[in-house]
Amino acid sequence: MPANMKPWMITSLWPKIVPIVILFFLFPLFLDDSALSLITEALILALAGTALNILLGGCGIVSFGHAGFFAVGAYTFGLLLYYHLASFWIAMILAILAVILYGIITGWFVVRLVEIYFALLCLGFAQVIWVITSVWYGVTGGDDGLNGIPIMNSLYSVGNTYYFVLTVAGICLLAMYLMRESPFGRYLHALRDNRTRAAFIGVNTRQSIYIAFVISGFFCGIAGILIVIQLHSAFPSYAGFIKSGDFLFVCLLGGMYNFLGPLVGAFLFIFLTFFICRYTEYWPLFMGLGIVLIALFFRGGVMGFIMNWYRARKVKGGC
Amino acid sequence: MMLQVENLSKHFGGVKAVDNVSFSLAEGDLSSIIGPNGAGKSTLFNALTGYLTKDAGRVIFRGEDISALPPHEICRKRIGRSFQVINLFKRMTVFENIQTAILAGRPGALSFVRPAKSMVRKETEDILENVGLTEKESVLASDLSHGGQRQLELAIALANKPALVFLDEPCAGLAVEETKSMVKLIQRLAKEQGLTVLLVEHKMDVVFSISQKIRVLYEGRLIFEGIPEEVKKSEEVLRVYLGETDE
Repeated sequence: MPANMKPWMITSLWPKIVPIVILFFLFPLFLDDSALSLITEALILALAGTALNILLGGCGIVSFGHAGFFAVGAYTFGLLLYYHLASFWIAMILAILAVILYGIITGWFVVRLVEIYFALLCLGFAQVIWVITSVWYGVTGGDDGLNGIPIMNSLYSVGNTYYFVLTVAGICLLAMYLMRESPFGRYLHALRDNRTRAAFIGVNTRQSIYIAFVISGFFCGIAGILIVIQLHSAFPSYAGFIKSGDFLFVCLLGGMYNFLGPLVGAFLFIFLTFFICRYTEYWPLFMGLGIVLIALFFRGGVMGFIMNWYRARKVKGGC
Repeated sequence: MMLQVENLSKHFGGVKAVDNVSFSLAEGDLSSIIGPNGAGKSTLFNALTGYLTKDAGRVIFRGEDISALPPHEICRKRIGRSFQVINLFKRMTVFENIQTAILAGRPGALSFVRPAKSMVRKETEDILENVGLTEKESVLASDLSHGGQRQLELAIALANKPALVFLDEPCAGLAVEETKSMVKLIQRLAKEQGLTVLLVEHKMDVVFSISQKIRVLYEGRLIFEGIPEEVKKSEEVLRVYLGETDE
């Protein structure tokens, strides 16, 4: 391998992603609007899940409050457009800045804590956002949410929204992949595996977690912006702990130690809930059973299971 | 002088784990600290490397006061350490363990987009070869044998090209033959790379064969300092240490 490889030259990456990207771009040609909407929803959830996974699988840190980022992105973007305070792109930039600011402020507090306290403080901050969005009727519409948020005219078609979300989510996923493979990504993996030792090889662990927290929140906030673009609405539930739980669930379902885990988890989650909902209103029951099964038998999630099977087959074939 | 420790103390509640300890290490020294269980050896190491805050005293490395620095900054001064309990990055391969340690020791190598796997490969391979892990480079750290993990433990401590290394029981849990080759490895590396080594070890044969100087820690205090022959003859040392344990 050449010593000075540029990021875009990750040779093992292109053969894998190009066919998938082409396939995704061709979907609108043979899928109807309802299927495209589902895929759009899955892509947004995949983006949020992969963002959370920077902390979860990447640093070994659990956050119960990533919905806070999602909602800050969604509501900043939504409110600016709803009250005609900014144009589409300016609103998007301001929403991203708001998310980064939220990350910097809450991160300063949470990185001082470890494990369960870290997770709970994240939840606490997200609950603050939830309360603000659900009780400030005059501005946010309270429980009813913001509805009919005006967005760019060209994004009112399902197909165009799909392409927009696909492009943004795709770029974000690629950026997160590059970061995961970079020296900074290695620092995170080192402190995930062994925080004490990571400090003794020269990693500033608290600072690294802080940076990872803000970056993770940044991408999660973008997912929040995308959901407004898709649904033209924002609801307090975006900041709710059930939303945070969904993000965690897709990481566990798909596998948090594989980059594609949350993506696979998000698609499974969206499609399973869609199909189960057709037959029964008790779909959370199946989700609960799913969590139990994963916790007991498939710790690595779907991707972990596939990778283990693949490795085992390779070893067998080699003998 | 490579390292000067002046009146270092560390208390845990009323227990004086390290009590007014002073010593110095010259460039190229290969010396050991011994003492019975609970004598404060690991606490001393943890205080020296910034993992524990110090209650009193100073640590001077090459003329610079490093007493208040956190571990990652001490590491970047080119001080390495290994651990008594094996502390590896278990989900990474052997190669990645060392590569990551090299990268982390160099703040200038920090990047968010360049692929880490293509960086510092030559240096990583050199260290792998030096400690004899070349053939195991793609094995996951958690899948290594205990002896292999001990070698990797040492390799990570050497990744930032340290001038000074603290080795906390590098031979713990090793069989007789493995211990012998680990001793040889430490001696060879110290000589080749001009390392200054401070060792904590329970195995007396290792300590006596490797050390130019031995310091004896007892109840947090440094009670004796001398060459191996003197230590063997010292009645005080025999009383507190050699006489009471035979591990």
